[in-house]
Amino acid sequence: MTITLRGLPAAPGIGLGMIFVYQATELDMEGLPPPSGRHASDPNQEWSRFLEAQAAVDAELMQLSESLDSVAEDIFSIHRLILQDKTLTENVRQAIHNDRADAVIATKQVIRDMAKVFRALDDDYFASRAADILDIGRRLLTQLGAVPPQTQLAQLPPHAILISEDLTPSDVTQLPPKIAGIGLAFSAPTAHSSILARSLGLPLVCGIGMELMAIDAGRPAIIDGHQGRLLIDPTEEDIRVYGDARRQRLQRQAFAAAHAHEAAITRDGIHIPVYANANTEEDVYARREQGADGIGLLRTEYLFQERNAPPIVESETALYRRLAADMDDQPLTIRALDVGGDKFMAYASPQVEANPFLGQRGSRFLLARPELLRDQFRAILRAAQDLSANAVIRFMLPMISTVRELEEVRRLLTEVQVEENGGDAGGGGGATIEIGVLVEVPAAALLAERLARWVDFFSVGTNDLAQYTLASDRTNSAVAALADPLHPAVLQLIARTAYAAKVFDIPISLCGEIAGDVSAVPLLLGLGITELSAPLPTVPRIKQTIRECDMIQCRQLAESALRCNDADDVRALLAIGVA
Amino acid sequence: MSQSESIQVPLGGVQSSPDSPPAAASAWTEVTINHPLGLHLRKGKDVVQAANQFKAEITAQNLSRHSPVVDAKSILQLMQLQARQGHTIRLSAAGEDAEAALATLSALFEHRCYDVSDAP
Repeated sequence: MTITLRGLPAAPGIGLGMIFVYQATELDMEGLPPPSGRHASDPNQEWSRFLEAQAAVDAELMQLSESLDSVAEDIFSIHRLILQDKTLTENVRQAIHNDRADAVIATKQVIRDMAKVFRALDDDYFASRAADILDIGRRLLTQLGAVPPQTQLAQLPPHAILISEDLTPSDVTQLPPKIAGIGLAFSAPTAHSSILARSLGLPLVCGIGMELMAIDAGRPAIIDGHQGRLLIDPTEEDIRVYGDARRQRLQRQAFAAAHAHEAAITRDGIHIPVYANANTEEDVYARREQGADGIGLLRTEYLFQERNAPPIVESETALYRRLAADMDDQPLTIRALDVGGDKFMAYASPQVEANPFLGQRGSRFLLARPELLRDQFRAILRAAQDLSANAVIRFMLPMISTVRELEEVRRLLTEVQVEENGGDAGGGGGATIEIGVLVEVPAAALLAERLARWVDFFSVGTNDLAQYTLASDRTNSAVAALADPLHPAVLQLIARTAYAAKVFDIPISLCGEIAGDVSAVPLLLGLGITELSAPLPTVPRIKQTIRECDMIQCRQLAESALRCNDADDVRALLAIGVA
Repeated sequence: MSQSESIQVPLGGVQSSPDSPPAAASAWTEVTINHPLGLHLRKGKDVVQAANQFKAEITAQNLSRHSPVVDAKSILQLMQLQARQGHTIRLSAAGEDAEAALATLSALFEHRCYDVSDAP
């Protein structure tokens, strides 16, 4: 009899294997020797032992944060801060000096109490920080010689489905590179262990509940990180279905990766450029490995987020120059500084608004602070000067909702061009500069024909377009599911925008999260999208999917989707189309 | 859990209470959390690092949650505020640079700084 346990999907993937139970018992008080035997003879000596252990762990964490990727770097630099936290240190000191505990007992007690306090918090995000505290505690105790280094986790076999109440980030980094998956009784998709599992490609289901811990080791199981399920004692049929799904997924990934650097051309010969979305300078350089044909969305907010003042034109120019030099004539699409909504910066923020998503966002804000727009465009023009005429830099304007806004922005940009080129608006050599609109407000999609004649390209931002079309805040979990980019109402707007792009013969890209969903690719092409800009890791698979598309079938699929009643119907349609 | 439970847990650190006599100068202010993720770990790290640059004793209390008063120089205590977007935080400082500390910290708490939850 198969038992299906449900939890929260925290890292995608499917794993077939056998249950391994991990009990993190190191910090249980049962593990402590009787208090009488452990009274510290010399508090000062115990205190020094603690400080030495603290310094050693700090060195360990520093090394970890440098040797792993940026996700881990972020996590372990925060662990260092917790390690040196004055509350933690002071409580250990008191336990040693006042309660005469030795360094080991003092550390165990303080860590355990603190983890307990955090576990009891009612907000999941803050409660799941308990795992971070226990992680640091275990490192301290290992240094103090009280806990053997973790060997159990590092020796798990590839078919292991690891189940545990919770896992610390260190636990996850200890895992061998290939295990089948992880199931956790507690934790949340926002916990550091989940973030790490995603970056390692390990399927993870969390928040299953304590019934998980009643499962015996050694039972066969399937973990489904897409739907948040753990199947214990699966049937032959379950194993076959999940096994096939998993194999196909892996085969397709390997095949796509092998062909990532080839152009994505549909069966009937239409070339669809696939770009990558980038948040950082490194992302722009990393596009090569994934075979991206350029950058379809560079979010410039991140490039200067550490700053308290607007970037100076010179430093911004230098950055764009470095990026543009790496592009080899592939297009680099730079989104104009996009603040407001849920994005704010120290030096550029609208007034506090009751409805920031309906407030002074994107181009609306830039029109109120034109010096920010002017400086950014000036930097782009200067960076473009060094490049050949084959190079293309695209400047993309977010949150345009009226033709007048676009006219005003274009007038400002022309003024900057005239200033830079000594009276000539046409440009003084260098790369081709293209100006485009990020279509993310229904009004812009509905009036796409009026906007099209003012721009060189369109790009559809489906995340915001969906939330505005369905009037549902995508950051509010109670209604976020409504903001589905596959809703037929959103598809109607995309089709309309694509039609305008076709009439005016300009490219139309799509840069929402849906561009990274392989099942949606045939539909998007059928709606008239001519370029896609997807999250970096998905680029090879998107390209491979395009190669399997036929435009006539894509258009038929789009016509059917536009007639659907809701997003679920569209998904059902896509499921048939892909299979 | 009851709120009082977390006050009693011996976390040390919380030395100042509203009743403790002001050292040299004391001041307080109330700020609203604007960040969509609330006062999360990374943001907390910035607050702790800024707070530690001041001599004044700085405390924070989440009025929206009736939280205990915590030490703003400790990340572990700050996280216990469970501060989410829209919550009101009372910041108090006592010491010679109390005013300056409050100015810096209220900007950080209120601050609407960037996060990677972004998508077009």
